Amino acid sequence: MKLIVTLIVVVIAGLVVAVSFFPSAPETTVVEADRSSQPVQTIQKISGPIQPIQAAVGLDPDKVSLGAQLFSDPILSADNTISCASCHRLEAGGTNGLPMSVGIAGGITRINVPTVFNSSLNFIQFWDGRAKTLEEQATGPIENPLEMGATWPGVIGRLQANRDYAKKFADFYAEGVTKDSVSHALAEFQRSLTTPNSAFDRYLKGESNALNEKQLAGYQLFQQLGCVRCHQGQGIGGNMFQRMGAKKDYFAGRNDLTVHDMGRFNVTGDEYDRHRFKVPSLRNIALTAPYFHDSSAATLEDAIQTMATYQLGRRLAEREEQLLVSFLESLTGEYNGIKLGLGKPVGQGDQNGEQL
Amino acid sequence: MSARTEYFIGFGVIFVGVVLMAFFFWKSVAIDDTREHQRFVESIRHLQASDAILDQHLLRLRNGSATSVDNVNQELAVINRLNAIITRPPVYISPKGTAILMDILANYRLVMERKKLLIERFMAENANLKTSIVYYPILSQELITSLNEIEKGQPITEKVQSLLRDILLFNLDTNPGLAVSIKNQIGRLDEAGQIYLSEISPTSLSSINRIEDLSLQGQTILRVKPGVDSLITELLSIPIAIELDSFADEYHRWYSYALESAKFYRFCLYFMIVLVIMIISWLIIQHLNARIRRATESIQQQRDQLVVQLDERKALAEVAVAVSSVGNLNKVLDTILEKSREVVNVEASSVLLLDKEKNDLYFHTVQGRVSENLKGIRIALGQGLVGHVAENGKTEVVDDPYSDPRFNKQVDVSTGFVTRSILTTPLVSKDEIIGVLQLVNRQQLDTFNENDVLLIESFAVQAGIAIENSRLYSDVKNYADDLKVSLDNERTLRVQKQKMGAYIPKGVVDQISISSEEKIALGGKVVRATIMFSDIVGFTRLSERLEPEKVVDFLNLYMTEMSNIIEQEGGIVDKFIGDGIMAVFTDSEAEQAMAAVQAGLRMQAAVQRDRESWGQIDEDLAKVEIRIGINSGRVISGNVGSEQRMDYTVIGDNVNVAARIEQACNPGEVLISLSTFEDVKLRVNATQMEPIKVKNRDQAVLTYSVESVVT
Repeated sequence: MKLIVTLIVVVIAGLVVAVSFFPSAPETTVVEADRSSQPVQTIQKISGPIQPIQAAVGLDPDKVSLGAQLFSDPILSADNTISCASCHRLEAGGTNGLPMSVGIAGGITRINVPTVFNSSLNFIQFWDGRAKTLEEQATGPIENPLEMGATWPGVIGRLQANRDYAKKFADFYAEGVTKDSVSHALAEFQRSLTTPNSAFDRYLKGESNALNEKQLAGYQLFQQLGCVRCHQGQGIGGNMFQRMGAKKDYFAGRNDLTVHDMGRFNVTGDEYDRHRFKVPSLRNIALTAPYFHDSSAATLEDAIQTMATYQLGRRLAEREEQLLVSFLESLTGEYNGIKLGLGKPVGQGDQNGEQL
Repeated sequence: MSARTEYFIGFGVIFVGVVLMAFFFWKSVAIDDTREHQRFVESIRHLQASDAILDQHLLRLRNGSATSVDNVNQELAVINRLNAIITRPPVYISPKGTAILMDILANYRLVMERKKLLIERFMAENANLKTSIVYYPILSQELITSLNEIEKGQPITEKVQSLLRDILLFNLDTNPGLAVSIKNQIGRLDEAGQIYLSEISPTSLSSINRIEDLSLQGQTILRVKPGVDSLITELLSIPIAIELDSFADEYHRWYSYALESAKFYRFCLYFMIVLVIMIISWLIIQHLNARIRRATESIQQQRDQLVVQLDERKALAEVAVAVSSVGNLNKVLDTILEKSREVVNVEASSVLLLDKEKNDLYFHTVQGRVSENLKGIRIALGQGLVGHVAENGKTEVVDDPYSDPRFNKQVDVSTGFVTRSILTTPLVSKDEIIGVLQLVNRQQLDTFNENDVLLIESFAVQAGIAIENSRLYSDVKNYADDLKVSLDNERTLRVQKQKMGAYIPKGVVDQISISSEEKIALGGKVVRATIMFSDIVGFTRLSERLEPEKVVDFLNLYMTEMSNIIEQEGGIVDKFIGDGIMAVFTDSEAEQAMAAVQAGLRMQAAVQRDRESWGQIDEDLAKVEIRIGINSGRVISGNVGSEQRMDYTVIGDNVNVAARIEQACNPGEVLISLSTFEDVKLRVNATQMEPIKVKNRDQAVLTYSVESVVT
């Protein structure tokens, strides 16, 4: 009798063990989006050097809103005075309109502030491309002593002390408040900062009267002159490096060169990369003066002339310059359905965007 | 640490080991997860495809059929993502394989970084080159147009055209000679052209500028084009595909290895499972075997015990049979000793009986080696073991007799016997010790065990019974002899009595028999009796007519019948008076009257019944009728006569009354007196008759004719 019970118990135990080893059904888990890479854009349907902006897809609205809150909150800076939005003013084209950035305690970084709009379209971040991703980029200004001057432990401490942030991070991120989650939230927000629906994009999508004659002519010229060789793709730039002064030496004879003028050389140390910069996006270019890394061009006209001279080795007629300006002004898009730059008077091309 | 604890620890270690091994094997077999393999292989293939697509995009950029570099960047992003996947080989790839794969991957990364760098540069240089290549013909055309407006501009136009042709050729060709030629042409055009133009037409500043621009663009093309060419050449020659191929090959090698090892581990797992099952089965069989063995042993033991008990029972039964068969006491005791030796297995045994007169014990029966020597030895009561037991009545077992002071060594000394162990038990009969049973030297064992004691005690009881039986037997035999004599006397008496019965009333004979010892005495006593007289009507006349033999024949028949009835009813035939009968009923006063009446009725009935048969003797006899008269009352009973001739009879007035009633009775009736009637009136139907006068009585006697008994 006892033996039989033992046997039964052994058999049952064996079955239980065997069942626990039974292969589980395939999980229907959603593969988590790879945060390190840009969201995959839909296939380009429109041929040609420039494609219209596709709305950013696959973003987490909670994290975007958390990123937005962080973006405009000075809590990220050491002395609680500067936020991302201090320099990247969304109502002003995502930049500050100054030739430099002003950080905490009046710290000044003498490099042009790039716009945050469409930064997700950039193949690499910063003028010199030192950040491969938006997440990496987000940590740059925070840690820069001249900008926000903060340390990550400090930032995390302040965010955890804030009940609202602590709760949101706990809700949205398994790891809570960390360097990764903060930079991811900021990057997620930045990925949402695309400006579709510009007049030019509408033209590209087949709305033939979206551009006026001047703008159309400007676009033709833009292609003919070869501008489009570098300023191409969805971002109309932002996807390659180019030497500042491809045809003529831009820096020749200048003796006030700073480290910022060295460009990608600062990252690679390769002589080849001296004075090479990321080709900036021309999206919303009418709103993001001054221009170039050194803010040397105050107006679009100046910038066009500089580009023609040093990058193309050309001399532009007044008329050509005006046509190009008209074209560039058609690149101003919408954010959250509202045309950018309406909060601030911009150049004469504004009315073109209002044709719709 | 006990053996049991060690056993458990050992078992636990083995169990945990088996479980761990099973777990390890199981995990090792997990390569069956083909999803992981597919994902990995797909990633590698995708990577290879992406590399090809990347090259395609680069070539399109190079030949100018594409301008946007987004595709390149996107493909690079895809490659980055795939890279992240193949950095983590599936778990089933062994660490060594993973290390090798990672080495290859590191090489690949190195090459890929180089490729990325080249792409970065290629894109910049290519864009630069393209702007010049596109712009150069336009600029040339513009220059030619402006030169056409100037006189003597023809030579420069030709040079510009030639240069344009060479530049366009140069863009398609890679002849280094051409580059030198172009360089020279540009140099000449730049210097000579500017001087020439400023000489022939100082106002043609735009043309001069254009020459300058043309020179810039041409130089740019010259400078950049070889770089772009070498970049694209190097890009396309970068061994990404080879690296990826070797990575894939290596992966497949290690995947096959993993499959092989999984196969091995699976085999191990199955083998181990079979082994474990076999061990468990073996343990179960062992366990069952042990149980069966134990059960068999226990059954064997019980069987042995039963055999022993059966032997003992048999011995006891034999002893009992021996005891119950009345026979020679010596034989019975011999049987008891023999059987006790059989059952208990001793060297010697003996029975000693108590001689009450001399108050000592003597060997009655002895079995064993020295039996003869012991005969005649007598042991006083209370002396030695035997005496002690006979005195106390308790069984004694002595293991080491020589150290027991009660043991009498003298017997051993005289017989040469060595006593090792002794069991002595008393023989008891009717709570009286009559001797002892002694067993000496238990064989096979050192001493007597409890079972022996119990057994021998029961033998002793049997022995006691046997002795008692033997005594009883002799007593019974004496009694039987006496009884035989008595029976002989009795038989003689019975014969005498039979003979006497013919003449003497049976009751008297019986009385004589009962008090055979007493002398028959004369004299009488007054008793209450019922007297019955019967008479055959007209027999005197009839007998005169009949022949005497017939009379006697008839009378014998008649008298025998009547006296039988009377005796059956408890009466005594007092005497036959010719054909008449006088009967006396002297039994209990209450019933004697009824008995007499019943006898009378039966006699009448007998006559009615039998007289036809009497008719065969003589036909007159068929009409025979009798009269019966009954009276009850006090009479004198006793032996009347002389010493030699006595008559046991009753006499008195009431006897006369009875005779008188008989005379007054009608034939065929039974007439009874009042005194009788008083005793039976409740039980008979009777009719009162006329009173009759009796001699010596003043009063007439009331009579009743009885017809039947109330049923």
